[in-house]
Amino acid sequence: MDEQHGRVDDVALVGAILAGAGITPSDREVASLRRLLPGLRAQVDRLYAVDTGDAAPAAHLRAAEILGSAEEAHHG
Amino acid sequence: MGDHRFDDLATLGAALRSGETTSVALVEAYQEAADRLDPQLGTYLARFDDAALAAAAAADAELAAGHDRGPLHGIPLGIKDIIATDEGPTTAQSLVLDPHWGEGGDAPVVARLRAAGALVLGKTTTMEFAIGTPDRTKPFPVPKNPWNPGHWTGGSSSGTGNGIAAGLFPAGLGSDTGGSIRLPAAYNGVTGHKQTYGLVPKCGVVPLGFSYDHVGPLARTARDCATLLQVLAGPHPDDPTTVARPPTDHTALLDRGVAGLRLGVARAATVDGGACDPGVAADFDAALAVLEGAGAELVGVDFPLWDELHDACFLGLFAEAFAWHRATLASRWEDYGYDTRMSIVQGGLLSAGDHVQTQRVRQVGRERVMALFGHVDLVLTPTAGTVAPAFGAPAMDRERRLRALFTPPFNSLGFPALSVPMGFDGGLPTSLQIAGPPFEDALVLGVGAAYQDLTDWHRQVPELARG
Repeated sequence: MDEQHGRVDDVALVGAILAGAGITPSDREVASLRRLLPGLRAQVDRLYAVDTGDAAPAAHLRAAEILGSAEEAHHG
Repeated sequence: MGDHRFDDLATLGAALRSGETTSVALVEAYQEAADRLDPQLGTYLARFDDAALAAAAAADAELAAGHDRGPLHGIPLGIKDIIATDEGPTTAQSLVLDPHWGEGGDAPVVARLRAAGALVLGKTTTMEFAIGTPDRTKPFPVPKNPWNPGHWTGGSSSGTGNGIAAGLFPAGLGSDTGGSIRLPAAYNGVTGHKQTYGLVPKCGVVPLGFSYDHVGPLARTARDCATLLQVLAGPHPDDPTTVARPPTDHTALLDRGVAGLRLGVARAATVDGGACDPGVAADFDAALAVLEGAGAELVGVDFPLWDELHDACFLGLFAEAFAWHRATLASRWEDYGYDTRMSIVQGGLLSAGDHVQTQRVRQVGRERVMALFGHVDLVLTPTAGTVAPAFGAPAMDRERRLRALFTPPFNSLGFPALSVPMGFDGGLPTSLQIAGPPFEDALVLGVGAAYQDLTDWHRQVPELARG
């Protein structure tokens, strides 16, 4: 724990998460991943800032739905 | 017989049917060129010389007997080594992949090409598991750019891209999860097409990001890509993400031209986004002028959620790749190349909620971009904001390096996008990206063909590859 800032140290966090998956990068690699973490978190936070309303997750393009909704919008 | 190494597929087909050349002669010429150039360029992971010659002889015999399988009859191809073929193992350019993977024989895409008369010259270099950067500590070739071997090819369909540019084969297969067809096409001065998600089956191809992966053609021209797509497209029972649709002629709009089309120019997101070199921007403006001169109406557009869809590509593919690789990352960490393992493992640092939100953003993005396509027929951007990076050059900061890739949003969307050569900057190719709504692949390819009818950037040949 980083007492001054009241949060878990990122290096320890990265190491712990990966160790939980049985993955054991070197200390140097964990430090590199720790340096990437703020950028990664910023990207994730940007996605939470999108107004996704009640949109359901849809990994695959479900083209028929997309094309159908566009057709509907086009014709009012 | 003339030198056909840099001919497009239609020219090769005409030469085969007139008797001016044979498939065997073509294969021999490509193999001789590979003997000379492959050690410098790192195009191949495996060559199937004897099998290719036998297949070529069979193709010649069929043609002589009046059995013509169509425009790919007797055409030799390079296949990215994440795609299974009968002739040999698939490695994904990795020490980690199970050597028995792919023993089931040809991936459906390869089987379809073969049934259409094409033959396989060999398996081409990639980045390990189609992600990362070349790793000189591993026992695999580092692919180099034929326009300047001090520069990279881009990836991950590296060998297919540089092999076409160097005249080692006229076309081939790649895969594209964040730009891996379009970026090597761009950096090597050839043409690459990432089709609508679901149009071409991905079974028999080592996955990277299941919902972002596309398998598709690289070739000299948009016309050639359309010819290949016509054979590749169609549902397959082993890939439930493929879509059953009425038969479509993907070559139907190759002679349409651009007159009357409204082409959206996504400048703010790309050229003006702080990650585009001036030389690329100048070539993009010149390409736009060509299309406008041919009768297209250019419309500036604000591309919805560009940055978010860009992020959603990398975050999502890291998560999906992590799921596939978790066990081997744990057991064989050091056997992965450094950049590959350090990329994929980032997926393990995301939460389940993060991944769900990524998929929600993709859905909202699709709806908003479809609304944009209610106002314009297609969207234009450069394919990348820079030319091929030099080996050993000071690394750009990660954020700018990724932002200079203008391909990933179309993987998040699953919408089709084509990259075509549009000029040179410092002696290295630049590239135009043409993107459209789902299943408008024929229009995307048609605009690419129209642009290539008016320009000759795609006809340029690197000095190193001549002779």
